Amino acid sequence: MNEHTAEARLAARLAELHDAALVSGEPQIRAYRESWRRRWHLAQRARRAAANGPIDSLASRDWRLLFARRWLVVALAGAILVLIVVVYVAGGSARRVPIATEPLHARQPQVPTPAASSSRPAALRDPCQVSNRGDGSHPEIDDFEDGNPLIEAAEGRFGVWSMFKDSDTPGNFEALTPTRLPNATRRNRYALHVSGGELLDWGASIQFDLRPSCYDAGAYSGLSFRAKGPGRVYVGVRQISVVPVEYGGTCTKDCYNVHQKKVDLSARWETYTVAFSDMRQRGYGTPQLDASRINGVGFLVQPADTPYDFWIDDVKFVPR
Amino acid sequence: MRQLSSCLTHDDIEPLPSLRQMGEDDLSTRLGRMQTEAWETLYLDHRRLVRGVLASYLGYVADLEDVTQEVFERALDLVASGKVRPSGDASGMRAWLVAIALRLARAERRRRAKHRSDRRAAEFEPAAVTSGLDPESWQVLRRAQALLAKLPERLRVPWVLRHLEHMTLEEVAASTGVSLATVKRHLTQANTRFARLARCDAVLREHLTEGGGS
Repeated sequence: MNEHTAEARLAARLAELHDAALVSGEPQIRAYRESWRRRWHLAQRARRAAANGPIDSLASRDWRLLFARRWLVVALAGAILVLIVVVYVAGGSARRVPIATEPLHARQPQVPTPAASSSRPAALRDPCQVSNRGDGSHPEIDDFEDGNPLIEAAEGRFGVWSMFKDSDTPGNFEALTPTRLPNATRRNRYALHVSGGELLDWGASIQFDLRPSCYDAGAYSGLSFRAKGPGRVYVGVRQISVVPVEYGGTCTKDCYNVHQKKVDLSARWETYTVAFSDMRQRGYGTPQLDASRINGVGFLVQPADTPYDFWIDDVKFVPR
Repeated sequence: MRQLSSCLTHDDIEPLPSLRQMGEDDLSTRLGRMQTEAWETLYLDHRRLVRGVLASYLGYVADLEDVTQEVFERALDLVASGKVRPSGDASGMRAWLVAIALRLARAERRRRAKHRSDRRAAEFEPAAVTSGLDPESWQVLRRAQALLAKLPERLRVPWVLRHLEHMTLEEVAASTGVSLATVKRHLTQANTRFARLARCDAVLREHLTEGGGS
């Protein structure tokens, strides 16, 4: 028997099986990753690259060809819709005053009375008449893997991550988009990365406002997140009673005195858990956080802790 | 040369007629201009080839499509940054994509080896694609992969490209970055060594005999 013929026969048989394996695995691979996501991603990359390179611009193309691709039209429409939502929410957030807009030393009185920070005139309409209630089924707030600044829309929660600091023009800040991790894995590619220089007034805030403005997180007992420093942040939860009346809250005096807890971050990725019961307002004898009337969540950086550089990932509520 | 138009049936994208008829030079020009449709055509025509190369390197795993996507993204990045001008002929295009696929496959294999030594290895290990083929065929394929893994890379890669992906010698040479003469020498060595290993393997031996395993 000719040895070469035998080897060629084996190679041909293997090539045939190789082909069959690739074709037969197709449905399973499709289930693993739906093809539209891949195609959209590729198209998106091409468009992004085209913006920086030699371009045969969209305007010069044949629009009939463009609209012949239904998936492209649907994807574009979706992107525009998301953009409108982001702009609308970010604009709304800009009109609202953030968690800590006032310098801490300027607060009066120095020692607030128990009722001062959560005073709510009886005549005012309760903003929590319309609130979404978390049932504890989806504790994850955001793992940032979607790469966008929106928190996960679940259990009636909706919000946009944003960052602003005392050196920014008041009311002018941008949505905070997650950053790709330097050592990204397939399961964990993105996280929030914030860094900056020295701040002198009230510091910086990384936060999201919940929409509608009052959220019932009574099914949860605290917040958990992964972070890498080194540095120090204050994990804050703002309840509606510290938001001024003019911004949809019920507070009339010593507003924005949010409940917060200091967390020292290590230089390695670690998971931190902060119970709502451990969060305190400034001063003493202040009321405990009412988790059923939450308006926003944030990470605050005090001027004393600047310059700062840290990562945040996997923010979630802690079920009771 | 095997033309990859058959791949189109695996995907539900129906390229527009004008793009189907796109010539090689035209495709190259359009790629250079970063036209989305051109990249899509490139992807559809070469997806099977890239997946085949990656499968022979990484195994028939469920996340093969992810790595395949990365190959095209890398290609796109290279062209967008101006480091590479797409080749005008189909052969050069295939060789270029395979060269990128080989580089990525090596990096991916290193990454997996690193994670395998990690305690959480199971979490990152992609599931094998096991559906479709009958158990006997799977056995043959897996045994062949195991034997190929015993060959050094300089011999294994040309063998795979030549016999499993039916690339021409010139394409193999361009993909692996060696001369044509070296490719021929490596292929001869790989043939000899693989046949020797196959003869010692109970499953593959019968495929070396007349009419066996068919």
